[in-house]
Amino acid sequence: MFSPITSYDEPGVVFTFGGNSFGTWLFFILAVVLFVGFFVRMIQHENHAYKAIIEHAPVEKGPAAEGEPPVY
Amino acid sequence: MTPEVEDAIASMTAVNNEFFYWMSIALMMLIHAGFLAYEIGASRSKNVLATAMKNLLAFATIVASFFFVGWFLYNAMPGGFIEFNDAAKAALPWSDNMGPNTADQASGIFWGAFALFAATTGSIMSGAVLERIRTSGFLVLTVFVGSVVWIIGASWGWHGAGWMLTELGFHDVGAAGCVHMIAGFAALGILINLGPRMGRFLPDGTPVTIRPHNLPLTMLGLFLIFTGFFGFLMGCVIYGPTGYATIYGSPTTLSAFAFNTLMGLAGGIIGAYLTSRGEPFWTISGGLAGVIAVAAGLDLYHPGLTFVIALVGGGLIPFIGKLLDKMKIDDVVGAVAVHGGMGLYSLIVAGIFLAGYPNTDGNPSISFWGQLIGAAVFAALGFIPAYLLSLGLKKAGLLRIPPEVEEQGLDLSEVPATPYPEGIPVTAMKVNGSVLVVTEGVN
Repeated sequence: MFSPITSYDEPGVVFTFGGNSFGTWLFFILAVVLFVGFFVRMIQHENHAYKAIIEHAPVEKGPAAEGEPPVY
Repeated sequence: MTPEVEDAIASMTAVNNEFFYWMSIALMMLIHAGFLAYEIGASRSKNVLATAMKNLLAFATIVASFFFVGWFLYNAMPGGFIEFNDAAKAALPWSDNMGPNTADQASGIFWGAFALFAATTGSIMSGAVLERIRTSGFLVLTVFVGSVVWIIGASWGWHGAGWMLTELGFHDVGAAGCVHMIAGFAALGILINLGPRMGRFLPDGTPVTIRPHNLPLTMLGLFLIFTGFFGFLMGCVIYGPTGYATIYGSPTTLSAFAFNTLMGLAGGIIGAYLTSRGEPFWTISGGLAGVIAVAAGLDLYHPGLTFVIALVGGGLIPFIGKLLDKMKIDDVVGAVAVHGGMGLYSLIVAGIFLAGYPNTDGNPSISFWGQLIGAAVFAALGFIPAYLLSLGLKKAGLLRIPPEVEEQGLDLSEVPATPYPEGIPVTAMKVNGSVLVVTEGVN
């Protein structure tokens, strides 16, 4: 369905969608958006974790795992 | 020669070429294993896992961003500014060449090798900023240095058509400038904005040693980096059907690199041992300093000269470290001294000993002034953008962790796991009949 070729007779592009195609563009943009989203999510996680430790609240809800440091 | 034989030779050449750089990539992965071990060991036990996560994520984000933009910049900017030439168009992420293509056996493997160079450059500053930088802020900076800044420097000075070669006759076969110097000067710019760890300097400016929690692991890490460097330097040569050439197109051999890499390692370790009086951290860092000190001229130095250059370079790094201490700059792993200082030293020394050597394709000969101007360009390219971006992150509150978190450690807050749940063995020593248990103090 996403193949740019019908046989291997001629050497050339074999990656999904083919070069300079809508599919390639779409997934390139999606990859960049996810990449930026990772940073946003990470900053949110850090802000939450720092706030919790400053307020002496547990960072993770639920019982502590064996060997984990006690809830501050 | 029959067409069948010619076809077979052409196929084998392509396969050999791909395999050569595949091995280079695999060996360069050891640099990252080394960085991980090195920095984990250099951290205090309260920041061990956060340090490991920082290294892992640096690798992941640089590789991805190098696909998005880095390879394009390398191919588009040898003239100084972005030009949409054929090589640049082929390096765009949606082009025919930037994915599986049975007619192209070069793009992916060269992109991969350069992605590992990029990850190395971005990871160099990682150790300098340990234990107080926000991981997200660090990743923004490392992506910027690893996928934008250094690759522009490489396009200018580490490329067969780069303007520093065509205008200045610049020579730096082992990437002492575009990788090490840019990374070291970027680290310096970031450290100025980041500030030292809590307790690193007394109010009167006296430096306080914050001891690594696992120095043996740090030493093992550096030895892994040494090993990975053979892959790094392997990737610094062009392997083709007629033999090896430098990135500037002049003929060379892996034998040349073997002589001088090993003698550089040896000289650097001995030099750092002598001036640090056998301090383990500086001594083993001296090996890295030695290789970087001779990297610019690995293809041309006599091994005896290499040994002397590396010994002096390795001997200099503890003094550069002390100078940074006086300036109240807390560089946890000596990255500014080893990479920035030795990168600069390497380019200048190459200007002294290699001046007058010819280049190919009508490019100017190597000269002292060409090397000096090249070094100044890399210093500015490394320092200024990283300083400005880290200043912006600082203003936005995204550069440094809060003091409460720094005091308690990132592993307790940011990382949902603990590295040593059963504690760390400590050495019990008898003092006047009673037992004294030595533990790490936190200032």
